[in-house]
Amino acid sequence: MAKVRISQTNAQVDLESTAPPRRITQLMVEVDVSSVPMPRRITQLLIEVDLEQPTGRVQGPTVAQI
Amino acid sequence: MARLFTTGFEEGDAYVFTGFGGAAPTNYSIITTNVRTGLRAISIGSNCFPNITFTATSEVYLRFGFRFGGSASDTTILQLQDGSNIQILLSYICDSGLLRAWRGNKVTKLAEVFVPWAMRWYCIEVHLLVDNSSGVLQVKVNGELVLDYSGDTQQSANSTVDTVVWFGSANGQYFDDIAINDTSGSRNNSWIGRGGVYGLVPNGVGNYSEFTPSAGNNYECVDEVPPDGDTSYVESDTVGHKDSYALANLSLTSASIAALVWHVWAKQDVSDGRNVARLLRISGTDYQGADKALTTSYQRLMETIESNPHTSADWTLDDINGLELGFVSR
Repeated sequence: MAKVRISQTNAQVDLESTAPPRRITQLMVEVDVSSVPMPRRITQLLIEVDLEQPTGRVQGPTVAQI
Repeated sequence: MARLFTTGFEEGDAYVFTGFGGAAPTNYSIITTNVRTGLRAISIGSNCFPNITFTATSEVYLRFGFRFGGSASDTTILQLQDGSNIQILLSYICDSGLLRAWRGNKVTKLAEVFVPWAMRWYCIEVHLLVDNSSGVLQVKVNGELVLDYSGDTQQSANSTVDTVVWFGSANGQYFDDIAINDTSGSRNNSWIGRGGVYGLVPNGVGNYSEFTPSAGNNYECVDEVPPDGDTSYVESDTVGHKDSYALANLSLTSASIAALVWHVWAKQDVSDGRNVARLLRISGTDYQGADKALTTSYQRLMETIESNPHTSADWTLDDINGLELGFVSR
């Protein structure tokens, strides 16, 4: 009888992470505006980063323009 | 069946495709850097058009990771076809950032949307209902619906598709995490989502080691990616012999699992009508698939298992991490 020969086996799993998106809760930015005596201060800027599931790579633009 | 096709190219070759067309059908490469998920993806060059065929259906959902290679001209990404007849074509122009949907071979432009060009991965999902008047073509990019066309989506005489043809470009076009659903069944019958495909290879001895290894432990003969053919293998001339292997655990801690796909690269040494069957061993119980015919040349055989046969429920991470993968000589 002929032999059955297997050179490779593997499984592939199609999955989607259900972990919540990571959150940067405090990002303080000081803006030095020359015409204003005191620098303005943004004390809390909440940014939710939408991670490309399931790899954890940052999904959106990596450079933000304020 | 609801899930028609799945691949992340984690097996290390491109033989998951049904065939390759074009003047340069081997102008592709499996890449291992800058992939979307898992460890591998595919880069397709110019004049190479791999295809996937499936049972004809009027409604289909498609998901793929896509990285634009960059081209100033309108470059085809894929065609959804009825046989050799193009029903729907997607194209992209890097210079203008226009993602376009066409009926036929760019016969009628149905819709277009601006998607900024960048050398990063996009997750593109397509929903197509083929019909002369009440058809639907929707496209999501990274989970957001960006194209929503209703009307005539049927270019051929039939209101079905059975083939996806993928296109490369001179600058390369990169694909990963391809999945196709139809609307049948209770699972995988709609949008696929932004997930990805991970590969698991044998990394330890399992419950069965009835095949004869070419050298060393059985699992060490079938864990190469890509497969090394007759360099290392296990073999058996006895019907009913089983091999099963432990797998590495997935690294994620929380995930929904749409499907598991079993792969072998297998042959019979002489023509004798031999077969191989899928084996999953879960919680001490064997779950065997249907016989798959072998030829005297290596071929890639796959089987999609959409739910855990032990629980009849959706797969869980614990299920995947606990199972043994293998095969049965038939």
